[in-house]
Amino acid sequence: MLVIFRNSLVLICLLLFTVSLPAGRADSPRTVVDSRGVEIQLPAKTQRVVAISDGLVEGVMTVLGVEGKLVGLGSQSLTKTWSYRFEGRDGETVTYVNGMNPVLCINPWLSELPMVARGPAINYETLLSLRPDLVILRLGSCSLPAADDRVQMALKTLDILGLTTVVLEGPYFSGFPNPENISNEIEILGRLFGRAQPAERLSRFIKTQIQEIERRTRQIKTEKKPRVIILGLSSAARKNGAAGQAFGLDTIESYLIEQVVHAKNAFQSPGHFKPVSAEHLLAINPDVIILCTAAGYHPPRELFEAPYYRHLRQLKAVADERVKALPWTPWNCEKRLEYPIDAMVIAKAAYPELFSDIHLGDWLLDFYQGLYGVDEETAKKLRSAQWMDWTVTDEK
Amino acid sequence: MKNNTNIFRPLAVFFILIATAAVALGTGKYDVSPVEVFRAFWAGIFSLDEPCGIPSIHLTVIWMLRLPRILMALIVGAALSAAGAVFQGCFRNPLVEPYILGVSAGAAFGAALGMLFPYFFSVQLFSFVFGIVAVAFTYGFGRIRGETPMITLILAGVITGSLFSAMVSILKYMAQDAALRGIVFWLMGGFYFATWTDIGWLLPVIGGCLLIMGKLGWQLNILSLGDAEARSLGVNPEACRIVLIILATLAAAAAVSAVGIIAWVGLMMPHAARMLVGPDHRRVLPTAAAMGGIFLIICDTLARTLITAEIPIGIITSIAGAPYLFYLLRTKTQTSLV
Repeated sequence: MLVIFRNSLVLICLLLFTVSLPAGRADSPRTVVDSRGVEIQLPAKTQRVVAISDGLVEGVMTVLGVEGKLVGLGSQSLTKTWSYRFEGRDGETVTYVNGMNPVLCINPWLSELPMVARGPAINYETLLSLRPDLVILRLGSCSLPAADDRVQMALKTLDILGLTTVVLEGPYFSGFPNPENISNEIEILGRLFGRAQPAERLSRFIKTQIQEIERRTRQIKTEKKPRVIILGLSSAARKNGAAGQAFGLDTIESYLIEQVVHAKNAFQSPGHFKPVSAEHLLAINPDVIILCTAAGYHPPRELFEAPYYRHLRQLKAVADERVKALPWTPWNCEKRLEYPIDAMVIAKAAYPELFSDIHLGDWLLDFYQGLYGVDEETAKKLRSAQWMDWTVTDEK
Repeated sequence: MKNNTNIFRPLAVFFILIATAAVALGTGKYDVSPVEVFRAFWAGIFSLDEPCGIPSIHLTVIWMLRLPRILMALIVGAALSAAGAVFQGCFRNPLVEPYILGVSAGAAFGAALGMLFPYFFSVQLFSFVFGIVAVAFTYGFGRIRGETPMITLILAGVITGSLFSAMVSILKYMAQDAALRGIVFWLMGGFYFATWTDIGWLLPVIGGCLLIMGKLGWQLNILSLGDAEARSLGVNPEACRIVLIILATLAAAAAVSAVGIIAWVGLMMPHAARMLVGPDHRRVLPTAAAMGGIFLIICDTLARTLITAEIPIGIITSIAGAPYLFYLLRTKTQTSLV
C-alpha cells in the first residue's frame, strides 16, 4: 500500500513537473544570434527596451505588438513633427505641415519617451537610468551610421555597463545595398520577442510587394528602359552651388531602379547624396525624376514652380511632367519598412502603362493596412503623415 | 598687499577647480546620492575588491562614465587655455587663439581622413599628426630669409588653415552620407567618447607641455616687451618663440585630436586669467589652465545633463564665448590686453 502511495506520489510529481515545463521554458533565458553573428543571452523577461534606430526597430515592434516595451529612443526622427515650405509660383509660399515618421503617427506617445542619443553620442547615464533589459542598436541608422571606432567604443561601453545589447545591421552598414536584407533584421526581432511567425508574415508581406513590381517589369527590353534619377533637392546642396543630390549605382535607390523596377539609373557614378550641378543634370537629362527626402520634403511642384529651379525646367522629365515624389522619410540613412512605397512610386513613374490598374492613393492605404494591420482611417493618417496625399488629387 | 592678492587668487582658482570637479562628479542623469558618489570614488581609489556593499553600477557610473569625462575636460580646457595664453603672449595680440596657426584645420583634415578610411587610419592619430603638420607648414611658409616675421607667420596660418579647410571640403564632398555625418559631428567637438586610454596618453603629453610652458613663463614676459628689449636682456626672441609655439601647438593638437574642435576656450580664459592675476605670465599660465579646466567641466556637465541626450559642447562654449568677446571688445579696446 505504501509502495503504491509512494509510486503515485512520484508519478504526480513527474506529471506536475512535465505540465509546468512549458511555462518554465517561456521564462527561462533564451539566446538569439544578432546581425554580427554574436549569440546573445536574453533576459528571461524583456519588459524595458531602448532602441537606437530611425524607425525600423520601432516599426517592427509595433507590428509584433510589443511596442509598449519601448522606454527610450535614440533618434529624433521618431519624436518630431515636421513642416516644410518653399516658394511657389508668383512668390506664393507652399506649406506642408504635420509630417512625421509613420511609427510616431501610430504611436503618438513615442514623443514623450526620453532620447538617449544624439548622433553617435549616447548618453549612457540616461540609458542606465531607464533600467533597460535590452538595448537594440541598428547600425547604419543616422545615429550610428559608419563602421568606425566610435561604434566599437559604444558597443564596448554597453558591454561594460552590463546591458544586454542586440545589434542589427542595416543594408548599407552590412555592405549589401539590397533592401531585402531588412528581412533578416525583421526575423531577428521576431525571435527576440518570441514572435517569429508574425515577423515572418511581415517579411513575406514586404517581399510580396516587391515581387509584384518585379514580375510586371521583368520582361522590359533594355532599349525600352527609361532613365530614372533619384534627386534630392536639398537646400544645403543648393547653397553650395549644386542643383541637387543624386544616388549612384552602389545605392539601394539604384537597386530599386535597376533590379526591382528594371529601369536604368541615369546617374552612373557611385555614391549617394552626391551633389550635381544644373549643367550636369541637363547633360544627364533623365526621362523620369523621383524626388526624395533631402534636408526637407520636395514635391514635384517645387521643381515645376520654385524660382530657383527655373534652369531645370528644360529637363525632359520636367517638360513631360514625369516627376514624382517619394514619401516624407526623415533621417533616411537606411531603408525602413516602407521601402516598397519607394519601389512602387518609381515603378508607376517609369512604366505608367504597366501599372495603370494601380491607383497609388488606394494602393498606399492597402499597403499601410497590410503592413501595420491598421484600419483605413489610420492608413489615411499615415498617408498624410508621409505627405503622400498628392496621390489622391493627382490621379483622380 | 598686492603680492598676497596675486598668490591668493591663483590658489582660490585651484580650489574652485577641485570643487567644480567634485560637483560635476556628483551630477548626472543616473541618480547616485552624494554619499554614494563619495563612497564609490574612494572605493575606486583604493581598488577595493569587495567595495563594502557599493552597487557595482555606481562604481561604473563614477569611474567609467563621469570621471574620464571630467578629467578629459580638465586636461583639454587647461591645454587650450594655456596654449591660448602662450600664443597671445608670443604674438602680442589679444585676439589670437590656439588655432591661429592652422592646427584645427589640420586636425580636422586628419580626422576626416580617418573617418573616410576607417580601416586604414585612426581618427585620433591622424588628427594629431595633421594638426602638427599644418603648423609645420605654417612655419615653413612664414619663414623668410632665416627669420619669421610675426605678420607673415599669421598670414601663413590663415593660408594653411584655408588650404586644409578646402581639403576637408573635398573629403566631405567625396564622403558617403554616413562618413559625412561623422565628420560634421566631430567638427562640433565633445567629450562623449572619453576613456581612460585617452587620458593615459593625453595627460603626459599635455601635462609635460604645460609644465615646460609654465617654466618658460618668464620668457613670455620678456617677449611681450618686444624683440629689441628681449635681445637687450639676453634672450633670443626667435628661438624662445619657436620653443613656446611648438609646445603650445603640441598641447592644442593633442587636445583637438582627442575631442574635436572646441572654440572660445583658448581665447577667453587667458583674458579672464589676466584680469584676475595681472599680466605676469608666470601666474597667467597656471591660472588660465585652471580656469580653462573649470570652464570646460561646467560646459560638459551642462552638455550631458541639460537634455536626456547630449548637446555638442561647441554650442555651449560658443553661447558663453560670443558675449564674452563682445564684452571684451566693448570694454578693453582702450587698454592693452596682453
